[in-house]
Amino acid sequence: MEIRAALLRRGFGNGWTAIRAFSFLCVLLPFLALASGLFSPPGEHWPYVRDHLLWAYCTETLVVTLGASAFAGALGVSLAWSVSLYDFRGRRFFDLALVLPLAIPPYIAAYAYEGLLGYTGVIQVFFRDHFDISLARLTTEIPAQAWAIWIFGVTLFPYVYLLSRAFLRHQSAAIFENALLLGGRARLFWRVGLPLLWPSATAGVILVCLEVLNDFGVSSHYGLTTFTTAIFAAWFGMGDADTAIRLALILLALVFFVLLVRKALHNARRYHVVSSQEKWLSLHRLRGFPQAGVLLFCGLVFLAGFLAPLLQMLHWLRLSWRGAFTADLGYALLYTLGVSGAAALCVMIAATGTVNANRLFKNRLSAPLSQGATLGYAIPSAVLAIGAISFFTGADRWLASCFPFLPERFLSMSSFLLVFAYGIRFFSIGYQSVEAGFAKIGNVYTEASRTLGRGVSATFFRVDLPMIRHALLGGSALVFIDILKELPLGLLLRPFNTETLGTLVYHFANNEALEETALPSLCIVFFGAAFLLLTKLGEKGEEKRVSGN
Amino acid sequence: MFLEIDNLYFSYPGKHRPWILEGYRFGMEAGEKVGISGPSGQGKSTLLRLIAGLERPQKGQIVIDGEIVTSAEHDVTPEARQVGMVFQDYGLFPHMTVAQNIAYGLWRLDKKARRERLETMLELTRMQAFSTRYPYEISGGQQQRVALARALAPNPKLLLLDEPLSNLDASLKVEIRREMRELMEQSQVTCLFVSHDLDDLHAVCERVVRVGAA
Repeated sequence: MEIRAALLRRGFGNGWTAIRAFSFLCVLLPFLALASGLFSPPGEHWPYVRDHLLWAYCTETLVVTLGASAFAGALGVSLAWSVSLYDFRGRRFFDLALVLPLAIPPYIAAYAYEGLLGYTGVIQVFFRDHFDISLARLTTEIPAQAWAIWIFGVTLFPYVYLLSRAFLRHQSAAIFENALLLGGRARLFWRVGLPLLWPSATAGVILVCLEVLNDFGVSSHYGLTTFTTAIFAAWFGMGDADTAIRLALILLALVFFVLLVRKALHNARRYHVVSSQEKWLSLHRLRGFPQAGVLLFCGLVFLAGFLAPLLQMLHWLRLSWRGAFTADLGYALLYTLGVSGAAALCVMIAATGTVNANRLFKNRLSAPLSQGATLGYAIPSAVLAIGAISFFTGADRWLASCFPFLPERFLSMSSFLLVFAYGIRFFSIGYQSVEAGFAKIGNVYTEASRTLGRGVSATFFRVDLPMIRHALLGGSALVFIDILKELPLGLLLRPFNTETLGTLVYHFANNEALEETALPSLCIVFFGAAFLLLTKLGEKGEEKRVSGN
Repeated sequence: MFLEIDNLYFSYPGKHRPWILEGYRFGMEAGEKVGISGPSGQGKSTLLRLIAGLERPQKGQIVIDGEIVTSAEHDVTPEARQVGMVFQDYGLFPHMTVAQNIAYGLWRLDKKARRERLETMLELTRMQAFSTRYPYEISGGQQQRVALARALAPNPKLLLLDEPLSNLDASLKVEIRREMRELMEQSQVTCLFVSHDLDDLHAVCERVVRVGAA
């Protein structure tokens, strides 16, 4: 009786905790399958890869990751600082616009930059025709790593920008005004602003870091030998799955190192910023040269991260639109929207169940279970794909022995595998959105409802759900955008003879048909930008509504 | 005894956390209105949350109307305890109107009985004219009355009030105290009222007990 009461109180045997356990299990299984690869004999190419290529994979991956993270960090922090502390012409526009580069997948930006900067691109032609200046060395002499760092920096800086901006938006004026009175604007940034921003900025930089480690499209385009391209080469080029698994495990170790750094940075924080709602940070009006400088800086970054790739895509579309609207594109569009929608829905259901279980039924397992379930985002897609394939291939063998009437490779050749992998990879984005939604409303409404006689589930549907709907919609949009942009999972796990928009773009670019990438790329950018803007506007509306109350 | 608390121990999770309540004992009769006072952080609100089932004690027993609701063997969920609670910041559902808030706990009644009970509560709290308004469209004092009406509507065995007057202006307090006392007398509910303000407690309750240092 005592044990039963204790178990019920901790939520054992109820639907919410079952969703939490299921989410954790879904993330865990592919990695167990991957880890089991360690015990299998190494592939025939492994000794060569280990002795001659592994060091190059490590250095190239580290150079690009560190370079891109530092560049994106510098851009994100300086832009957030400019938009949060200064008032200048176009500030409201840039506050929204600087998020838009997130709608452009880095690999699409890389293709667009090749078009822009290539021998027949707008920039070289302009300088050649008008000033008789040859910029051919621009593409030949600047190392590929530098281009990759540039592309990652200008497309991924919004991760740092968004987190830093969110922190600065809710800062009390008192801290900054005191610092200003005691030491001027330069000291305000270096001695007070940057140290306070450090946790938010480093959280953003870690996200950039994980995105770069996950990348395949940019590295493949610039011919870089990073871990992800090496996994693809081992899997497809050498046909050596065991070597691919070993490389995936090394990459996983690298990711865990990044996560450890994140944890160490978090734990090293010995203070907590207490913000008062009495008076938010007020803006300092800029005029003359300072205004022009900030405007130019914001404008150039927006141009580099969003406008230039977009204009290049539109230019290519103008050249190729007659043959662009094909049945293949229509099918890829529908398929992409379908799997993205299905995966986003699954993610939001699982995330809502997990967060609700965590807030209502706390026990010793709840923290590790939910932390484990959110690890998917940190795991590079190539690693996840190999883990998922390994697991589902085994599951298919088991299913075939139990149910002989099922088609061969029932799970591993269907879209189910892709939706499952998308779900694991982007679970943490949904989880964080739902968690933020619940944190905003607190527990008092749930408690009030329960003391009025409603159970946990009835309370959820009648009280919690209507109150966190904005967070759910925002989270769904973010998951949807990320899936839309995702390339490596699509390349590795899509069913035979099926393309997503991302894989279609990749194949066109791989076949040197860059103009053909325009329409599918624009579809991705359009849906991504539309959902991003809707999410941002929804957040602003919600903030206004809350403050209006 | 209608409410009987025996040897209650509670501390928040974490290593080496001090006891908020240590061997606490308390009892009250049916229909009594008892005030609980004491310094901040001494467990006044925690005691109400334990009685409502929103927290679980490490040790001890709580009996309401002869039924053991908390003990080593028993753990009745908050929704099954028939305990009404008014929270410090009221916890009115912002997406529901005043009428919907009050009717929320009446889901066990049929439609006609629900409407009648709602009318009674609106009349009792003089909120008929505001029944279609949302919580943010009414004043703090009116919100407090709605919270009280909502908690009383399902006829709880025991009403718990957690500093319900702390968010009100001093000028409003005197009037609201009087209204609360009238409402309690009319509803004849057994009530446990927590406040750090002794004037609030003496205005509504028949006796006041202290938790904490004393």
